[in-house]
Amino acid sequence: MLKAVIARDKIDVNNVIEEIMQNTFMKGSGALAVFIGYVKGVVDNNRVQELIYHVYEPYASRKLKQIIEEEKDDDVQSIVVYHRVGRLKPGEPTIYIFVSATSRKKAFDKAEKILERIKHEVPIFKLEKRSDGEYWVLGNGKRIKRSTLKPESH
Amino acid sequence: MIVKVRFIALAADLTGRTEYIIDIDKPIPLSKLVNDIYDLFPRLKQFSNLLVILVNGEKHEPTYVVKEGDEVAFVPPSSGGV
Repeated sequence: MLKAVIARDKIDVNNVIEEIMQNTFMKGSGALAVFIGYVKGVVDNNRVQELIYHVYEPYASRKLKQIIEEEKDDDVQSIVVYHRVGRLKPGEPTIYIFVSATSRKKAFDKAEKILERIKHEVPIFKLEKRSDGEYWVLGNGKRIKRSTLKPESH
Repeated sequence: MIVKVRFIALAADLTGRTEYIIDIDKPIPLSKLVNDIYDLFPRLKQFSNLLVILVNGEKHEPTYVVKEGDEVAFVPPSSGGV
């Protein structure tokens, strides 16, 4: 079971878990790793008001699907990823990764690898709105204050 | 030949626009097109070390030949996930 979706809304985690377990227990799976990322409320002692995920489509969806296709192997029976985009508030989920595998180590390792690949390869970009201004978040956690990026006149 | 150039996220802030259409008379190397865009948008050029260039969503060598219908995008490093 492979699924990669870029979504605006929250998902029902219990439904996904149930579906994965029912689809994979007869295929050798006995371990399901679930990772959920959610919006921080405080960054560098500043209150976060909102995180806006910009997405470059259709290439983001294409890359997400490519990653899970490349990461499937004989010991992994299921990979399901939902990446949310749009305006998200602190405490809201941003990404869900579900990996079922024949062993817990495989499930944990694969979930971690998929997360790292998504962070670096899928063209999704975060704008952090917080009490001290708006910041573009770059891949390495570095931030650039938006008000410093004035366009030239044309 | 029409080539669409997209400025995504931070790159849109630097140019004040989200896209720019270029009409080229013949296929040109990606490096040439990128330099032409940097000449048009000097503010973008100041961040050239940071920006990633994608053609139809994928990274390519500077020698890649841009052709009719390609979409060239200037994007910051990805920051999806958490």
